[in-house]
Amino acid sequence: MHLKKIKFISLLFILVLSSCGDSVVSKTIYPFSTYLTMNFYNENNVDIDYIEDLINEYDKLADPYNSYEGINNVYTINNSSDFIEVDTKLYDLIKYSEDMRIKTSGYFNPLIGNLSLTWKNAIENKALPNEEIISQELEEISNSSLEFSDGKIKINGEANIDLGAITKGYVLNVLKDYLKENNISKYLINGGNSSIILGNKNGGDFKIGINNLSMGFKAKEISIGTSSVDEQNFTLDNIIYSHIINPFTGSAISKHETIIVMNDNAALMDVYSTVFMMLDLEDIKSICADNDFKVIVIDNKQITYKDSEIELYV
Amino acid sequence: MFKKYKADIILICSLIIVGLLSCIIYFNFYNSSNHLVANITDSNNTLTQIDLSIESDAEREIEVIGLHNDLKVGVKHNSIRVIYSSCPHQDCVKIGSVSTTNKPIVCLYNKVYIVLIDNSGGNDINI
Repeated sequence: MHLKKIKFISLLFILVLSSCGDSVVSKTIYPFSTYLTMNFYNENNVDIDYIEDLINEYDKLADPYNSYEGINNVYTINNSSDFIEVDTKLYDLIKYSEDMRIKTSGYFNPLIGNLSLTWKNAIENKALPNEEIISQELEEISNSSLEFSDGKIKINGEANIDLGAITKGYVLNVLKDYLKENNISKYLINGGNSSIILGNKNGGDFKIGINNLSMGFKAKEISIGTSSVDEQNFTLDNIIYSHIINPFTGSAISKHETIIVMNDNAALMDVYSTVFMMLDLEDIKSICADNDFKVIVIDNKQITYKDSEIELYV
Repeated sequence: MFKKYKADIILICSLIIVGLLSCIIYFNFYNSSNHLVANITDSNNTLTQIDLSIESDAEREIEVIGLHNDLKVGVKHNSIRVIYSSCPHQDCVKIGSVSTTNKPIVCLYNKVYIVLIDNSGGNDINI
């Protein structure tokens, strides 16, 4: 057979195969009491097993409710009054959480564990918790602190650690750095819809739809944090009580329906999407301007504010 | 003439077959979404809709009212199956777990139809 023919047929073969679509590697796992879906587009060198192991390791380390053999995790720290030596990964995560408490003036507080659990039970039972218990837990939070010393952590006081509002974002940020180091850029990783990191979609943008609204926006190479009263809630006397708890008042009533906030740091976005649910719009605008965050605020199924750089499509 | 081009014809036919097989595999196995909703209907009405994207990995069981007997249906994250049906042929049970929009589960005996709908609205993700 002539060489030209072979070349032509080989080309045809490649065209036939490539016409069937892009190669998308997709995997869903279930850490942090939610799901985490990873989509990689035409990326052949992704070590999904390594990524899964990394996420599962953080899942165990940040677990406040279960102990694991041979691991000192959040549960271990919560159940001790002494310094506990922990893995560097957990040490850095809790240290970062403490830094976030200071940065957010206490609106994010890693010592919200007991209060958070009280509200989780309330949501499950669809009944308001006892106000005395809430007051007692608020006092515990204000009288407690975290102490760090050479890879060891200790809680001073009665409060407990809960990293539910930061772990997903923090881990996705670690993952983002890992992907960058390995030249992996075409991906979408969705942590339970509350923390998302985006690479690009074969060079292009991703289409991000907004739930309950017939519109969306395009984005790439960015981290997105979302918080919404639509998740984990119950309604009593037309008031929605959700999983977002104000560490100053103990209230589970949010000021907004949904917050979508974007920046290159997934950990920050996870924290601020929650914090913004407790703040007035003017405070949100001010923080976004100071920190180069882009935000969408949704109230009553309508966008009440969005950053001017975000272009919506219908 | 056929002898002269025999090798070419065989090669081209092989390529077409490989191409078609690739397309069949693609449309059967990759036509899935991360935002699936299960629409469960009887002959006329929607019995229930379940957003499978927010289900956990642990399967939970629901009962679906059938014409003769109720069906036991298992739902989990982006997947659904019929666990039990009283129908004689058991086709709806045998089809197993479904996670794609192009494979409905049908129980003709009990008049229950389960169809998965891609609720992403053409978006890569909905938040």
